[in-house]
Amino acid sequence: MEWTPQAEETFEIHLSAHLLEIKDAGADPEEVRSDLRAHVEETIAECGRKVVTEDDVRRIFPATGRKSEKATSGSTDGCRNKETGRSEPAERKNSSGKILSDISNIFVVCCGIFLPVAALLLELSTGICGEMFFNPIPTFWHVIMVASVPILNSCILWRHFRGTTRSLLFDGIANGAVIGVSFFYSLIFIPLIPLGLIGLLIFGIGILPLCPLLSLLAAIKIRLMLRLKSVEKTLSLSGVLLPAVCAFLLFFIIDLPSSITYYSLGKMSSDDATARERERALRLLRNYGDDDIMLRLCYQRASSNLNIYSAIYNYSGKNLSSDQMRKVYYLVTGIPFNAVNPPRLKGLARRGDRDFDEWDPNVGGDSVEQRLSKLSLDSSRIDSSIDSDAGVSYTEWTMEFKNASKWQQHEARAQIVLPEGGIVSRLTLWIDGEEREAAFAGRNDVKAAYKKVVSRKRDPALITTSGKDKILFQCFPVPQNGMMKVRIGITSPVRISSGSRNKAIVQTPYFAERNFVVSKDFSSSLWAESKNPLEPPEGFEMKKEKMQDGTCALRGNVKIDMMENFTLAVSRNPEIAGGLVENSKAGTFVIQGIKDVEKVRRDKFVVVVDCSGVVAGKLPEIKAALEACPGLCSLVLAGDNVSVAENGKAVELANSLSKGDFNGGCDNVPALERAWEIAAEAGNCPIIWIHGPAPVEISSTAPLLQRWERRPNGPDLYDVQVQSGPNRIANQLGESVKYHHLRGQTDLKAVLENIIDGGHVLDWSWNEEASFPGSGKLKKSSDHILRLWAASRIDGLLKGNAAGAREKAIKIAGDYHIVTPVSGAVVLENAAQYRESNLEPASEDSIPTIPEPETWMLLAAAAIFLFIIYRMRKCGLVKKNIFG
Amino acid sequence: MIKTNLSYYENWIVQARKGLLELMILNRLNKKGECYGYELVKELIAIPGSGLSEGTVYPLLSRLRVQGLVKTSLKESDEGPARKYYSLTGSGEETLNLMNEYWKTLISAE
Repeated sequence: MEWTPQAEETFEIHLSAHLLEIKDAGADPEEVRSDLRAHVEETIAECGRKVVTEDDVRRIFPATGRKSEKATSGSTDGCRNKETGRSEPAERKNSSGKILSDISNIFVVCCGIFLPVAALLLELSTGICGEMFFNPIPTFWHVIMVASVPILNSCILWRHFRGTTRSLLFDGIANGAVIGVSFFYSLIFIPLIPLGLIGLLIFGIGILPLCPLLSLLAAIKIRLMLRLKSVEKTLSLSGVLLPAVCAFLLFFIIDLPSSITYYSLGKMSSDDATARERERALRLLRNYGDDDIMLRLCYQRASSNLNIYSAIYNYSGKNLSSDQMRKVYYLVTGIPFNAVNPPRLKGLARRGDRDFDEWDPNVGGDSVEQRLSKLSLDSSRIDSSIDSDAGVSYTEWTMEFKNASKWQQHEARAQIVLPEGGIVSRLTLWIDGEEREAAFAGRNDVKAAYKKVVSRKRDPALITTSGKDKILFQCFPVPQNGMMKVRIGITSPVRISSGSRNKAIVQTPYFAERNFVVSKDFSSSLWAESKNPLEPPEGFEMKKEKMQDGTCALRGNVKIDMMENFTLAVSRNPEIAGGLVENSKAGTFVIQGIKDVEKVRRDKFVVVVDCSGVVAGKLPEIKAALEACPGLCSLVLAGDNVSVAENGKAVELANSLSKGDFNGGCDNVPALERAWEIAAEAGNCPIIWIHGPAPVEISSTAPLLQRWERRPNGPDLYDVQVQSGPNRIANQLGESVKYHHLRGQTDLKAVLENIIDGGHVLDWSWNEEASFPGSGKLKKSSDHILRLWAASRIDGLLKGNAAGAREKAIKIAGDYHIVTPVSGAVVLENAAQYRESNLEPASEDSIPTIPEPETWMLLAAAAIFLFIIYRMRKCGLVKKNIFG
Repeated sequence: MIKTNLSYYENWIVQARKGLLELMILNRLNKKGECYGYELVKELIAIPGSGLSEGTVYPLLSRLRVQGLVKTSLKESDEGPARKYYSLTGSGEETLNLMNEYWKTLISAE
């Protein structure tokens, strides 16, 4: 016999109205249900039909229902009324019961299904609760848990109304789980219920805070409905407990990383915590902490989560500031917080029209700081002109920044690592499509001018040094939905490979740290040219070209994150000993010559190995490099605690590397202090520092700096950074210390050998001659040699510490338009702003270009011009008075 | 006056039926022996003045089975699914005898 769904539903509704009474009377509800169904089917079969319809059930059951009212419990009002012909009260009772049943059904459907779906969708799309109070769905798993309420309720009610006669085991467990989830959220939302009630009563809105409680009531009502249908144990009170408690506990499990994170951060921020407790908290964060929460805290963008520790941390008043949090983030992950894209904004804030939430508090500041998701590098081109014979190169890096924000102007900031010994000699900003050149002046003057213009939200760009061979670049504003284009000109000496004068190495600048986004596959187009043939590094595909004038060119694309390792090899004439240029400002000649430096062989050396996680991948290489080194060595491991293995054979000490944890990030300053002590005692032997990024200054570098300043001929520090990123420690030390940045060194074995072995290295020196020294083995070259000479003079002046040296250095930097530790470059919007700041932009004839016109070429051009005029005069084509 | 008597009578019928329905069912089963449930219910419903319906009889039969006075058995049927048959248990017969004795005592009392 087949039942229509409506017949099933009607049958169940009628039956459920009496099942409790049946049970109370001592009958078996399931047996009664089965008997009644069989009875209906038998009745229909007698009529010769095979389908039970709703009308059939209504025809059979209204009569039985009215008559059976309270029959089993003793009252037979329905029967009595039928017998007496007085059926009105029973009809009324049945009718009101149906209305109540309908209201009850509407309540469970609305509060058990529709309301939770609406609340979930609203929170997912707007994040309104997360923004105003706390985040009720902090993880994907929380979304699943909340979504389970309407889904499970739908399943149960569908089965219920369909009148399923199968086991209600699933319904019982599912309902228990729903009760557990609803109960958990009801507890969480208790503080918001009064607000919701007030809002509902006064404004007619505010039902969402009541949603968990209403869902709980709906789930309980569903439970009662199920109990009427079954006497199975799962639907008893004890049956609800197990699934409900399991669902409740599930919240603690999925919230465990968050709880551990906040608990540990609480310990890290507590004044009462001991060093041991902090260490344990750090270990917990490294092993089980939630990186996303920590990143959000770095941006002050984390709302409270659903655990007690989150509440304690957020409302204790002892939470970490964003600066402190950024240190913790580094210690935990080993990478700078701004090396990853900023955390995704939640709710409405992630949409374009709410991006004002991404506020940058560091505009006009002295460091790069937080990354802005709407600001990106849109285009990048690098043009290089190399005079390998004279030993000088000039590189222009043109960048265009794009701001996708609809509301905010943004400042683009980046720390750029220059080629070794390089200086910035040009800065151009495009304002309204026109190029504006920078003024070069004292560091404080250009900074003040920049900040003044930034505060008026006009167009400036600024470059200052940020450690040895590093600059901090900033430009503002990249307008809303707009672009900003800048060009940085860099003059640098080429490196001559040791032992061979016929090859010059040219490095490209690269980003150490930036506050804008660069897509993963973003490449910079590169064009390099020289009179001599060029070769790209291994693994880079570049096209070679030969220009009409015989110039060799190399072009191609280089991924931004590969630029650190990109070096060009340029052939050079080994007979040429350097470059020569006339200094028209002083009426002198400047020579850049090759200097042969003799290196002392080192029998002892100190190796400092950063135990941060990013170095772990380099361990086999470090070990192999140490094993290949002769002589005595001391190994200092910069872990959470400094561990030292002194004066052992490098081969033996290589095994000590296994003592390091190589997890998270580590403070390297204490290890460097220890290394300095060891190196100083061992006769100033070199310190080789192998490390990852050091984006934050955890311990002060002041004591370390003091040691080097007080002992100027102290140990040399060789910096080998195995992963690109900022290095705050080097920024602090680089200006004063005998510091050598070995950029792009992938072969650690060669690095160690190069430092330890004796022999000769080739370097550049700059001299000024009062009279023409004769070209000899020198090649006449461009004004870039003058700029490098000026930079070396400034370096000498600053190291000399003589009275007035700083002022003199600033004047030289301004005269030769270079950025040095005492000077900077600033582009302002108009002449009035330059006047106001007492600055003068570089004139067109003093700015470097590609290729830089060499002096002799200018003189030759002038001579040809004069010759033509002379010939014209002689032929009577030009009047004599042209020359007066 | 008539109204008051009628009302009293109606209430009395309710109380009397409440106590006698089970006796009636048990007597019917005793008389017929093993009986097909559907037919039994139809017969019981058809008894004038019983006030019984399917919704009343089946719970009563279930309760009697749970209390051990009635037993059920399924028997194959040519006309459809297996049919449920009701019959008195030994305990049911003994209890019915006691109930009938008591009933006779009540109605014969002077």
